[in-house]
Amino acid sequence: MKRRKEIGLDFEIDKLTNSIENVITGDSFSTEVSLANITDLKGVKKKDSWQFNWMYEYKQPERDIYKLTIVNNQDIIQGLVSLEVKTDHVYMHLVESAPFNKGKNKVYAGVLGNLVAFACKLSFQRGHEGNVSFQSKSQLVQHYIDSLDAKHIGGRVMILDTVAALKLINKYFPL
Amino acid sequence: MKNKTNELNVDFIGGLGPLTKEEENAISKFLRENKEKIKSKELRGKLTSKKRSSKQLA
Repeated sequence: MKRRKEIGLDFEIDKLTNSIENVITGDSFSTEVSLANITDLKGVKKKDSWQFNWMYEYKQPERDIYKLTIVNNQDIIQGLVSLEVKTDHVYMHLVESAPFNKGKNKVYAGVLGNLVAFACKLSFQRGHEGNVSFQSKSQLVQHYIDSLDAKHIGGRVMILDTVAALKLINKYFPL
Repeated sequence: MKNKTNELNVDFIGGLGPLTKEEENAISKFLRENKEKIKSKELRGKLTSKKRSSKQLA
């Protein structure tokens, strides 16, 4: 009997191209999402107005940290996401825009949405049908329902199901 | 009147600590039930279209 060659799905997503928009000029810049390494995260510190301890996230073995950067400008991180591939979905531990992309004076819009859409895409690629979960503060639950089409399943847990994931992917990664 | 915006308008998401066992179970339950719902919807759609085509043949 002919032995079937096993083809494993042992792949790493290293790049996905999309764009973010300069708030002032309205210009779009192509972006890519790639795995962040320890050198990338050395410049991501609370003293530089990042809100979370990304080095701690990086040190958690079950989590992967991805960075969003503008194409041909990999040194400037526009935002970060910490993801864990669970048995039936992808859990989003943390997503944060770079300090210069926060608040009313942000330089680029679309950073966070872009990274959430990436999490959905990763979920599809890992066979979890786009399902992504994350935690929300109670006052933001309705905002995530309105903006991401997320489902609130009680407590602080929100879920992006297949339908919501497809909407986000189509919005942020159009063909 | 304040306009309702549908754009994601936050600077970060998460950072509220790890999921509890109960939360993990609730997620799995939701995903399982959601999958079942979609499957039965698809099945219902198939049956309806089968019924329709057999009616047309008759």
